[in-house]
Amino acid sequence: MSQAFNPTRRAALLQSCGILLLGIGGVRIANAASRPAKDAVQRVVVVGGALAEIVYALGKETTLVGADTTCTFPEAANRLPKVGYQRALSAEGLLSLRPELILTSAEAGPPGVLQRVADSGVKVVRFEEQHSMESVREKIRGVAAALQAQVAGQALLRHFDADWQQLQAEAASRPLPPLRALFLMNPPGTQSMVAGQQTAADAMLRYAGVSNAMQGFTGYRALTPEALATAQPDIVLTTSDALQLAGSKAKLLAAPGFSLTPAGRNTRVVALDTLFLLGFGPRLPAAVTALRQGIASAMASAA
Amino acid sequence: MESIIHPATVRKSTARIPGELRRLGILPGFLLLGCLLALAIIAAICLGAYRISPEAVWQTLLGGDAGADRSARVLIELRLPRIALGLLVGAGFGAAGSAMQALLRNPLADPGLIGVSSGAALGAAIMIVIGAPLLAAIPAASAGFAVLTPLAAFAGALAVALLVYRLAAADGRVVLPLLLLAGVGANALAGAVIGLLSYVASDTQLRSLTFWNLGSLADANWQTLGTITIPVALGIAMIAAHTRSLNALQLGETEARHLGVPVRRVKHCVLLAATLSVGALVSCTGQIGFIGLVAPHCIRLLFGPDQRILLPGSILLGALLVVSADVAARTLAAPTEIPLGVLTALLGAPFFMLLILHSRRQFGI
Amino acid sequence: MLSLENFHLSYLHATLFNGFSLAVAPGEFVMVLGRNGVGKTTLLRALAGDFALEHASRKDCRSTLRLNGTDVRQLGARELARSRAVLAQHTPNTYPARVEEVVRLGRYPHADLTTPYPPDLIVSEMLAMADATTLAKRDISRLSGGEFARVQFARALTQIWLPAAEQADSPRYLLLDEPTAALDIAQQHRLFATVRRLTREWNIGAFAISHDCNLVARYADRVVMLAPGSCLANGAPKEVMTDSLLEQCYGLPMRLRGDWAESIPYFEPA
Repeated sequence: MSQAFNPTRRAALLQSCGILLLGIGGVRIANAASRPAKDAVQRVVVVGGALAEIVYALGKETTLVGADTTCTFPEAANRLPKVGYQRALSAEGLLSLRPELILTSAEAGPPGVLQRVADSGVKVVRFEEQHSMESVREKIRGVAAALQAQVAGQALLRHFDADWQQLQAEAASRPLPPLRALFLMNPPGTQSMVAGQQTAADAMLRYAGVSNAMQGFTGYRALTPEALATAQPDIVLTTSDALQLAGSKAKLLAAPGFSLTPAGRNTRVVALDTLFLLGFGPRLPAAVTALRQGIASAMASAA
Repeated sequence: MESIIHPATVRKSTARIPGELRRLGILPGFLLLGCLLALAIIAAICLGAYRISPEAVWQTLLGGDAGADRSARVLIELRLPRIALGLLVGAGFGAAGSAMQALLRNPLADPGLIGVSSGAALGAAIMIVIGAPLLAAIPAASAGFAVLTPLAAFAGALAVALLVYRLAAADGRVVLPLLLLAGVGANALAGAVIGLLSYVASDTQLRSLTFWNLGSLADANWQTLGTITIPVALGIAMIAAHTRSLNALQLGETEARHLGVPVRRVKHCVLLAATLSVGALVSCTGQIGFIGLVAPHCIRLLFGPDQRILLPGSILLGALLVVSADVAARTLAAPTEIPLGVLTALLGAPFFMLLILHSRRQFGI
Repeated sequence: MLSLENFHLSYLHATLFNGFSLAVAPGEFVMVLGRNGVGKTTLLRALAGDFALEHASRKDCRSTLRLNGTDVRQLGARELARSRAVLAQHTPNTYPARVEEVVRLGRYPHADLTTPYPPDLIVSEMLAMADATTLAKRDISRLSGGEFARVQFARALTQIWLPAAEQADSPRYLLLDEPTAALDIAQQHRLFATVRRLTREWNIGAFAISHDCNLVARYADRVVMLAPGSCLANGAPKEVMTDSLLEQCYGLPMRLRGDWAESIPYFEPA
């Protein structure tokens, strides 16, 4: 679902609350009544790694004039002027890049800043995140529409759907054994956060066909050794950044409690790039495939 | 001796008396502060991530066709309200800080001490974590959520300040040392409840909480400014009306009472004024620390403890610190922003330490 | 007349004062003698209005204080302060203010009155009267105990200063709690001599606590000797400062050297 900030604030507020409440899926194209929509936008700032991937996949990267720090793929996205972290944007900073259009993820904020930017006449299109395949399709459709690249959008969607069907077929023919996996956000030490329900990691584990070892809470929570011993994960999933920080798989699992779990005893760790794994961009089918392969090989090598 | 005043008895000695307390001249000092503030405001108007030429700034300020041009909108809708809010934050915190330090006769007193800041944070946290999900069920209420959080913060500021006051007062008599202790207790409690709330908060709620706790001028707009200017100005005016009484209070409560100071009324007025202005400010900027402590302290070290000098001085220096810190926050890492609280401390602390170094002799070393 | 009537005060089940009355008239210098803890400072605070104004609702503390015939509860704190100044035993002097600034605080209750006399002139005059002119620009937190005591004295005088023409119509009162405790012998005499002189010249009534019988004998118009819970004696020094009363007062045999008829006698432990 995408949503536009209308130049008239009240209308925007009413719209936004209506949309939020109903929670309808589907793309709402930004209300472009105030500007002629004939010629395609030339200056775009993208906030959110998945959206940047889509812009590149649509071949519209020449329109990009800025991106936030989560836009790390493809490599070229790193060289765009950075507007800071997606959750701590600056109104004047965004405007200083003189964008016509800002594409933002659900996490972008603070809300007041985006409202301020929209008030000054920049079209802001925000994409909701459900951590689902359908979310990715909506993002693709929405970005393509906002960039007036509907043809490229259709092609990308077809490609994505084909990949997804291939993945489904593969998963059906060669399912993983029933496993309990734990997603570790950062290396143990001060406070390691693990993923509960309604998180990108939880959704990825579900798509990969394994269950989340941490049940009973939503979002990310600090991990305690006893909760870990109770959860009994067979395998630990983490990001490659976290693994690099920890130094090695053995060091990642050196924290108290891991030795009491099958994952710790057999040093079963799968690490993938953060944006690739959790971004829910066009590479989702590839990420699920990579996750399945990683889990399968970790189970095989340790067995 | 006749008790008629002879002008001749006033000695005008120019010789340096041993042990004389020397200070910066008030007129040159204030001129300097005023010039620096004016420079900071000019810099704040002209500088920013969005490049606007000085001529364009000038034309816009003269009332050119604003609204049509994007740079004019950036200037009028983003930069100017931010500068105005910065001035208000500096002035409000400076004034409240100077009054609290005088009232408590403690140079380390801070407006946050009576629980206003932590109360505001608590109010906002309750609104974000508990209030918002409840209100989401009512369509009309969720539309006003952006307004409700500052309101909840202001209510929290008043509530916690009232609790601290009740703990430290009986029959309308406020025991100041008890006020300090009650403030410490209430701040700890508010901090703990905020911690608990952030523990149960969802990811999104946690994000709003963090943004709120860091303190920022980014949400400045003319509408909010219009609303908070009233309590802040009222608070400053109430403090200004009591500068002489606060001076007399430096001798201690009993002495002040013997001098005819309506001690109870002064205490109530100053506490209410600090709560009003700081509560209103933190409810729309989040927690910005340090200004209320450092601005009055620096002015006292420079110009002495006379509240009639200290109050305007603290207002000027507070405004100067906040506005220049915000210029740095906006421009140093443009187009991204550095958290304001980091820069106020980064700018104020070395200055503060330099002054302490110069005033060591006053403390006998 | 500053008159305290029917003063009751009990504290932790001990009755300190029970129906005590005392008046100080303009033009007179009353000094109080008594052993430690007998309630001299409490009596001074009662005369200052601390109990009548602040603890009016307390059951264990009752008193009526009249200033020139008016109950102080009917006067504002400020109006009372224009007519009586208090010099306390301990005043914090830890913050870096200038002596002249502290003395000028004495004009606080007069701030809303228009007067042709600039406060700065009054301050420097009063500093001179307290022999503290050279201290004017000093930092109070760097003064010696005796120097600060003189500054406080100057502040108290500044508080009740009036132009000569208005003095006769408005009697004022000066309450001093051991003002000479930190002073050298010359300053002790200087201070009490000044107070005694001002009672005559300024039309003020003075009340002072002192532990020095010789100073009291020399400067007081009237001596109040306090015993626990009661007044032991109240009268002119030569009537009440006898060796027997002084022995009762302090619990120590005292001897008078000399005779009231010839000059002021000298008091010493027997």
